[in-house]
Amino acid sequence: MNLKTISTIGPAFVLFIALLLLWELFVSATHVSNQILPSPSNILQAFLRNWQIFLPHIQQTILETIIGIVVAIVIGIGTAVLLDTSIFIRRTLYPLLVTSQTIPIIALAPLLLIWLGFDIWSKVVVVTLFCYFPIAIAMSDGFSRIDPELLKLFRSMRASYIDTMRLLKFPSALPAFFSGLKIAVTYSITGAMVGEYVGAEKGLGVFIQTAANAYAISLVFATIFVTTFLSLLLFAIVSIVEKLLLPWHRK
Amino acid sequence: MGHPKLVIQNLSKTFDKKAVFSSLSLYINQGEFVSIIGPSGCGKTTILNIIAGLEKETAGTVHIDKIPGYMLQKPLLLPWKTTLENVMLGLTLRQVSEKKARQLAYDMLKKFKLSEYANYYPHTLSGGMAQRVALLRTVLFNNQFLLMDEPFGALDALTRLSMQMWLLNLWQTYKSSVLFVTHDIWEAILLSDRIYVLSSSPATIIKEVNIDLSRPRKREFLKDKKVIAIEESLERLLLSIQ
Repeated sequence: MNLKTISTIGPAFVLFIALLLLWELFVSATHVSNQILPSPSNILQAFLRNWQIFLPHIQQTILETIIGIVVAIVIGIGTAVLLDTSIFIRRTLYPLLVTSQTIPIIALAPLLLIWLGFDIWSKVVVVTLFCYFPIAIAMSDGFSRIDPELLKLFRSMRASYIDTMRLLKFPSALPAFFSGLKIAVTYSITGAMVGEYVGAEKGLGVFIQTAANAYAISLVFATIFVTTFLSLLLFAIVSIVEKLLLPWHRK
Repeated sequence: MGHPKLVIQNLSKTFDKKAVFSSLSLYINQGEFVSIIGPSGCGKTTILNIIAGLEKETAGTVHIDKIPGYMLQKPLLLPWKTTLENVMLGLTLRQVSEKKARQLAYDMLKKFKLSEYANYYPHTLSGGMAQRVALLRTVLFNNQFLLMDEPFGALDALTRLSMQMWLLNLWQTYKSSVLFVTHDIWEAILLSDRIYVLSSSPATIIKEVNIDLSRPRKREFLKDKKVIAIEESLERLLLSIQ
């Protein structure tokens, strides 16, 4: 990590620590009960004491999330390619796509449970539903923002559809794709938990429910922190892959 | 000389019921450098697009023997590809094998003393350098017939001058036929064997000028009395139809 990266993430990191400290001070100053608002140190202790119980739930949620994201990427890119084939198809499908996104996924989750059963797939589909839309829209916008002069150049050289896709459209749309994917992955863990909440045997969504039912408030908070951490981790991984794949985009 | 490289007869184009140009006839001989000048919006780009097969003519005929190389005002280099990979684009699109395309592109860069930039990415190149690379890409696609749409319009005066000389050198190496669109009268005179002057819309050819200057052309020619006279008469003509 060089000075420049420290200076970019430094201020946010300092603010984060400061907020935690403020929280800690607030709890110890007001003597608020552990059952209402545990202090950060208390939450950390609860996590460390129980991390072996946590682990299988974390693994389950990550598994559902990863599969869900991969499926969303495949269908999302497929949708973008389809929308790109003609203006007619775009005009027909695009509004439908946007409308579909207004359906509350949380209301679909019980249906998915009925259709797909109690195991992993109903949660995978919820993750996919959360992640699919930003990926499809971002990629599709990426396709439609390509410099028309570049398309003209390719046409003047009689490029085939496949070659235009492979050599021009896909690489051009990659930055947009990654923007969409970054938004998608930050939703993804939450998506998996929504699915688990409705009905599952394992996963952070189940765990947080059990903890809340048992009034283990510090474990509820610990789960929230774990969720946030996992989401940030996914975001960071996507950012790193983006930097590795798109070195020209940094200029 | 053989057949002319390009013959256009009675070409017309209407767009939204408005005539862009009508009954244009022009030709380019093998190895000839021909320019088109005219007021902006007179459909110069449309003519090139039709020749390149990107737009359909409303009436008339266009005869060419092979898809021309088409160079535009912007370099349009793919930012994720190196100079070498950009130059070989036309060959890649023609399904020439990767190895062979690389070799041909490298030979081309070497011939025009750009091989040291082979592995540079476009954002590290200057505007003039990027346009040179774009020109080599066009030439590697087809070195016999080039369409150029104000290729130096976005460059500063000094870079532009060195690009013009560089283009002439390249043109003489390959004995290409060139159709060059510009709105710079000096540029047209310096480069061309012949100049077509277009009127504003609906455009027609109002004058055809032969430039009988010796080759290779030199910058000093532009101070020649005869050249200044041609420039002034073209300028008057263009101003009168503006």
